[in-house]
Amino acid sequence: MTRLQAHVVVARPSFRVDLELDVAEGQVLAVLGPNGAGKSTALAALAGGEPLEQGFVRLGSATLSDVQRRIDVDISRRSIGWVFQDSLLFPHLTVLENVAFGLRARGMPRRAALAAAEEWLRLLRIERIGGSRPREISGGEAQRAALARALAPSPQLLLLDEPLAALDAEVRDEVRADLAVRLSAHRGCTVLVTHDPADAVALADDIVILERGRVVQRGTPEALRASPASSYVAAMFPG
Amino acid sequence: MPRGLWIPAALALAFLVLPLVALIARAPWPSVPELVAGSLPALGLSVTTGLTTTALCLLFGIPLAVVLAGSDGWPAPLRRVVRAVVTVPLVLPPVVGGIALLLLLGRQGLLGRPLEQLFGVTVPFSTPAVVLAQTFVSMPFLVLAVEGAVRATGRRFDVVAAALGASRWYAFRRVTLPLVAPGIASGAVLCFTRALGEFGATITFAGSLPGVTRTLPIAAYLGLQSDPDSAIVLALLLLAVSLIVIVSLRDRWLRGSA
Repeated sequence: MTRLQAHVVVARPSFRVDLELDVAEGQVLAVLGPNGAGKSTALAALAGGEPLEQGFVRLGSATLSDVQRRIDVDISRRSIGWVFQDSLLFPHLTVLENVAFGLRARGMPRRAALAAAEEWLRLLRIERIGGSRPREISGGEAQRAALARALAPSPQLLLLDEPLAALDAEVRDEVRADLAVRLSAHRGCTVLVTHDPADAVALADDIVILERGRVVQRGTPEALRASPASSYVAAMFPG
Repeated sequence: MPRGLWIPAALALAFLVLPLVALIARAPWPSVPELVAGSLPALGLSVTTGLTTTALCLLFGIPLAVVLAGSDGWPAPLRRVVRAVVTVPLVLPPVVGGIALLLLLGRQGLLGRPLEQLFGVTVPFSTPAVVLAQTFVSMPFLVLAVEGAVRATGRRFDVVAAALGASRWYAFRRVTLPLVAPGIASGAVLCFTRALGEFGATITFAGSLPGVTRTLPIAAYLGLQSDPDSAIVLALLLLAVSLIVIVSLRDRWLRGSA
């Protein structure tokens, strides 16, 4: 049973982020908030890319971070998939090799990894561009490839950091629809960071509102709409 | 751009070109094949030591460059000292490098004395000494080129690779090295050409033993006193090798940017 339970506190000179979350297996939690709320920082803390000042990250039976117990598992051993606003595909590899990278890094033989990657390209409807280099493909294709690359090793925790924010509106809707299908099939936990309530409503089971590093409200879109706890929530979920 | 700049610009260009023109004009063309044949030992020595130097610089310089590129978190004084040490051979007169190497590895040197007493090894005035002298003066070219390339690619791809489960070593081999390959290539070329032209440190530390330490530049310099025609041919050989390097580099760069 994969379940993400975490309380991450990150302190920087200019701001502080304090986020508690609990995501059940197969569930998607959206962290929604304005720019500068600390969403990406919180996500990086879950990934192990940002030192915690306090708190812990537990995934299933494994403790990935625990400040008191001085546990801090390396990023590469956390079984995470991490997708960013930019696709950050490796420019020297083809799209197919990019998607196979995580499987190869975890020791899968080349041929098997490429075959599995091929399947992921098909699932994200970009099998045509497997042989292309990242500089030759569109933004929407690149982001699909980045999703395929993150999902291919079947991570227990999928971290999506504004995955649709860099796309044009039309492409964004298409990728969002495909992402929704992939997320419903994903058996691990997912944390989605976004500033767009449409992403949260379409993709997430539960929403946490983060403002200036603090949680102001949690709940389903309906609950948020019914009783918004701040003017930001009211603006995002007009009644 | 003021028109007045054209005159000094043309003078500068002429100053760079005319010596080469003189060299080519004065070449004893009929006897060139014979003279080239006579200088093959020096050419062979120069190319083999130059390639060995480049290999050594790659082997040790790439790790140093990667470490330097990640040194921003170090205490500032340490960072400055290390950077200065890496850069000094660039600005140091090569003769000084040769003297310093003698004081380190000479028979009375800091390391040279124990080396000889314990293992019977003497380094100076040998072919390995040529390689060491060349490595000392060439290493910074490689390190600075590769460090620049590593900094330009940034750390984000390292994080992506780690998130995908790649160990640091795997990420270094499969991501960092391929991404900085163009920087490594141009660093290696700079390194090789610098090694090929090395004179001061080599003659100080390795001397001028025919077939052992007498590289092309040294042979050319000595030839000028006894047999000017052979010196001209040796100089032409060095020029030819440099031109080959530049042309091959051009191709690589043009392909890389296309």
